[in-house]
Amino acid sequence: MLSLLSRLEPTGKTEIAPCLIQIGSMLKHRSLVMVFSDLLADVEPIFNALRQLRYRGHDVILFHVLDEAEVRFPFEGMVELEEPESEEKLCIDAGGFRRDYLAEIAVFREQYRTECFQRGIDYVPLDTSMQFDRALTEYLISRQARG
Amino acid sequence: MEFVHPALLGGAALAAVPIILHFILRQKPKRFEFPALRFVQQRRQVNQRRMRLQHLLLLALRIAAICLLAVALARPSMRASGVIADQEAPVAAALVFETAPHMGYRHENQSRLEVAQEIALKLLSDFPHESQVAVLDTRGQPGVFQVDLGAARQRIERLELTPVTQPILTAVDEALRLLGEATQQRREIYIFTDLTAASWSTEAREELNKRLSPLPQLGVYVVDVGVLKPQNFGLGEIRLSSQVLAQNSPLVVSTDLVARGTEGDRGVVLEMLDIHGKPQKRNQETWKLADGQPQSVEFSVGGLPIGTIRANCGLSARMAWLATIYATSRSKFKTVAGG
Repeated sequence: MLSLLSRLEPTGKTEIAPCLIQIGSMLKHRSLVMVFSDLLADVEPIFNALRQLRYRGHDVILFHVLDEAEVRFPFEGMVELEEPESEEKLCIDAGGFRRDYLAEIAVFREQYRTECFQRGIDYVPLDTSMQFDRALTEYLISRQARG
Repeated sequence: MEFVHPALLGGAALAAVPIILHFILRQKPKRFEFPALRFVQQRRQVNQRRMRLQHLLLLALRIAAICLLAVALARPSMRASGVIADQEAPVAAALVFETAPHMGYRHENQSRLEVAQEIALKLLSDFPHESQVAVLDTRGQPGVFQVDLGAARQRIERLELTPVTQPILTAVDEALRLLGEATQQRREIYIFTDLTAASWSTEAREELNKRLSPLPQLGVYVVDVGVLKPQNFGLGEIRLSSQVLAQNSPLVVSTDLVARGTEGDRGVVLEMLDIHGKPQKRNQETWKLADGQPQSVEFSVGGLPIGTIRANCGLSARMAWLATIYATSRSKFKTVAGG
């Protein structure tokens, strides 16, 4: 399993909501489902998928992993941003956009936090500047402490 | 509004620099892969509008800053303001001094001419260094602009009363001629006078108005160095009992002591000049005076030597002279040995 995980590479377009629904239908017993995703897709289908997992009695942990640049928006001056899946491009003055972008990303994360709280899902926001092993260990210890 | 260095206004053309930078030399954007692009898109319209406004505002501020800098370097100045010599622009100034004998009247131990000189020197120190200054008096001589402010200062310090003077309008005419030749935009004329009725008759005032009315941009300042309540003590004509005296007979010197605009005690002194011309006090008496009422003064001097004798008769306590209309009355008289 670890070998499989280590060989994973980002390719093509992805849809996380159908994947979650598919996994839910595949699991016959109550299981622990750990989701690692940037969740950069429409929120409603993902919410529905997460709700279905919970409805089926699975314990769900949602690791919301974003790139450090997506969390901090460290760009300066004129930049051309390209969405890798759709190849859509946008040319902007990064300095003038930072505040608005950070507000948007904060709303985006808060949506998941609220939804997960209401559905009994553990929501763990991460970004690539963090040390994953340390972040995961800290989360698991806190989860164990909660019982 | 005038500019001292109008050529520097051309520096405002540099305002084109931020425009070129803003519209033409735009920075080439760096490319990044960014999966969260949709969050940027959501705010793009509002943000772009705001950013465009900010950029235009910034551009306007940069242009305004460059234009203001160019205007400041060109040194703007206002013509003929109401405040005397308070501007930095060089001035062409003509200082006209009345130097008639009445300018020698003293008040608080200063003659009117001295007061005028003091004010003029102060004024001169306030003029910008590049200023052209002409100093004229009522002697009727042609005026010239002094070489520099130092020369103008010396000229003012050397001004003296002149017994025969031209009307003040003659000096004003000369000043206007000089100012007409000046290159400076800011031109001012200062007239130092005690405004005596003799110098400033109704006709003289009308004439001055006529000369100045076609010159609205000329700054005209009349500096009144007279006093509101003049106080004069004076001696009248000196009368001698005789031009030729018999030996050992006394000489009687008489005159009238007059006070105008004041009253009080005033002393009169009679001094004989010795063979070296040095004054020796012979008599001094004090009389009580009422305003406008002459007081007869009489000295009797005996024991005069044989020969020609010179004497001065004048008011005592020079330092306390309040008025100088009859400042010094001097008389020379002779005694000849009689038989």
